[in-house]
Amino acid sequence: MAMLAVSMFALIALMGLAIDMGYYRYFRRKMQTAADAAALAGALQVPFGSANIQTAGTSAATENGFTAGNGVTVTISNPPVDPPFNSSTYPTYVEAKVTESQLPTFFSRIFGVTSFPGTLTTSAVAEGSLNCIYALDTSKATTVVTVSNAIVNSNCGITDNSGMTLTGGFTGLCAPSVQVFVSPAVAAGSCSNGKDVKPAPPTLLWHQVGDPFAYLTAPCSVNDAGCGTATYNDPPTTVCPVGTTVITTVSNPEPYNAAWATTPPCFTPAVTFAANSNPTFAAGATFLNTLTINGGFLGTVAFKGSNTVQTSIRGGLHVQGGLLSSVNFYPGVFVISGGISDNGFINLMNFNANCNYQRGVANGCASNPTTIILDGGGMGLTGTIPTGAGVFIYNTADFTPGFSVPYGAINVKFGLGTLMQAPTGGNCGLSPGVSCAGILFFQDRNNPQPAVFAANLTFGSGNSFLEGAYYFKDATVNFQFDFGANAQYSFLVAKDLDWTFAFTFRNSYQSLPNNSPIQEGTAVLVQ
Amino acid sequence: MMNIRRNIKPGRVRGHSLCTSASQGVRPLNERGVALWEFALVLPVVLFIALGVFDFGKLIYFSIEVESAARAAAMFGAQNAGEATTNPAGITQAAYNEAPDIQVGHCGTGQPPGSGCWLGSGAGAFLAPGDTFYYGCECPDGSGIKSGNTACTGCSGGQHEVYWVAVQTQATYKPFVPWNQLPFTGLPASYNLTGYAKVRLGAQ
Repeated sequence: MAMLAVSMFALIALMGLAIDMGYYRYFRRKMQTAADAAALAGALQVPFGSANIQTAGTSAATENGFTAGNGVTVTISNPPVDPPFNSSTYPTYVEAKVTESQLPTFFSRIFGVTSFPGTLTTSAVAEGSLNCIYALDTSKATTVVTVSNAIVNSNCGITDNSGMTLTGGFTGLCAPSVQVFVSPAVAAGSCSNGKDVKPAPPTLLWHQVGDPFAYLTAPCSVNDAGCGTATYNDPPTTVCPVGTTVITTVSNPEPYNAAWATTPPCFTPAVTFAANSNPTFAAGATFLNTLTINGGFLGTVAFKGSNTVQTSIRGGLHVQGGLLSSVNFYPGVFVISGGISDNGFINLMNFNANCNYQRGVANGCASNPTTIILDGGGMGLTGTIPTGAGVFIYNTADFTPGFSVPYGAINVKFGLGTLMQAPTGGNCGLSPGVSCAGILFFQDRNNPQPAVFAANLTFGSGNSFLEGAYYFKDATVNFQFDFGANAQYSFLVAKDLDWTFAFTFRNSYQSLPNNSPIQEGTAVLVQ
Repeated sequence: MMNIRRNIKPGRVRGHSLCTSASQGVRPLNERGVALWEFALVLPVVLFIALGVFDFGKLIYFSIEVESAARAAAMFGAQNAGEATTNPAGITQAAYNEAPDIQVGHCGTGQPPGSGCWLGSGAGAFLAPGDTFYYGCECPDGSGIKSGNTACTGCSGGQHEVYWVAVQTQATYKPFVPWNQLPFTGLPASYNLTGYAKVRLGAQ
């Protein structure tokens, strides 16, 4: 009988253990759901900075039944604290860990064990912000994104607020994720040939997304509607700024005066310089009319810059003729009404002559950027090769009463060796505290002029690249060359997108202090 | 064999190892059949407990499936965001697929013993309590919850609104043994199981 009692005791104990283990497994399942939700919620906040990652993670755990306290802990880490993602190499990764140290038992209570020994731990890791391409047009048209006879390859996701159309026999749109609001009539494929999208079918958005660069407060002048604090001045109209040497009569070409390198001149009539005279203009130089530069051969024109004393051109900057001459801008603010244009022959335009491009490096000089305000008239280059590490170009209009200059387009045919890089820091005339890191082109949100980025058909554009964001919220962007293949990263945020040439989007953000500047969150579980 | 065992009495052949062994293996005449009686007595108890454990194990098993189904359905809605609006029936199906042991349409009196049955079918089967949509938005700290397409604005402290998909799965488990018919158990005829998952899918 004693043996029977012992056997029954052991049998019941084992059965009780089985039941408790079942409950343990059930509880772990619930914990894992909470950990997954918390990791995703935290990762979704990554694009907006670190401020709300903790709050979002813990509130998501609460929504799934796990609130810190009474033996439960919820830990959110960015970057993760556990291998293999526990390094600064994974700044967009968020780890959520949910632990329970007082999980009650049922049958084991008979033997005095009221809670599971040790701590149950579940964890999950999610990666945030994968997107880099946005078509913001909410019209629901199927042509908001068009790809014609081109393969677009992206290392980061695509979000389209409407539909897309692919035409041509060698066409593809390939990215880690493709999200659309209107289901497109596209086929799945390998993205190496045929007409296809990968992954396919694209994910359907259930809400149209907002502007991921909405936080970038645009540079503005006092004449711009809705301008709060002006960050630049429209070029003066008839009166030269104080501190400049006023020049009212000029020759053609105007001979260079070495004094202008230290005291900025102010030309009231239109003026033309020969690049061969190698003029240098101090920051604050002002041109109340058109400024023309005759390219000549191997000449150098230098515009010194300043972040507090802006250089202004009212009638536009035109570079004509010449061969291998350079127009150099130095860090500072340049406001140009009337646009930038050229008809030269392989002239160079260095937008930040202080800084050489360094691939994938948080370049100190690129954080001291050159800010070009296209204050009406846009930019049309056909034979000029632009370069510069640390360049920010804002394309707006000049609303000076009586002297207004309307919105212009950016229409460029960049030549061989084009190399432009967005700033890696600095403010660029945005609101105080807002960084322009990663932003190369920013078109006024009310400027509908379409942008075209093309290659110079005469000389080709081999090894040319533009590294940074193309931000054209209210305009169509047409790519006729792959300016991303040799860039470390590219962002494209526009109303409508049109590729008629292959394009490559990369996502190596090592040179940017805060990773991707995109503020629109998506996230995926990676562990 | 019986004769041999009958003739050997414990203690009669002292010092013999066989005797010692026999003394332990053979019961006195008055104890013969006790093991059988013990077995007969214990068997119902063991069976009772075993069936209870069996039923409880299945209950736990189905609970895990229902919980997993909620997570899978929410993930389906979140990672295929359009599905949450255009294909709510797909969310239901995603839950079904995750828990293949739970059946559809067998609930009620016809539910076989020891089986699980989904409480709900079609679009909207697994809406969370109080929700009329599977999706909505809220602030990152969980405040300002809005369901459906209602605009979510006004998050405090510079927070950016987030979008979510929430699913609550419900099923019922009918025990293999009708424990509720036993006197004094007070147990229900079937058990309702629920799983819940709320997953965030985007922020801006």
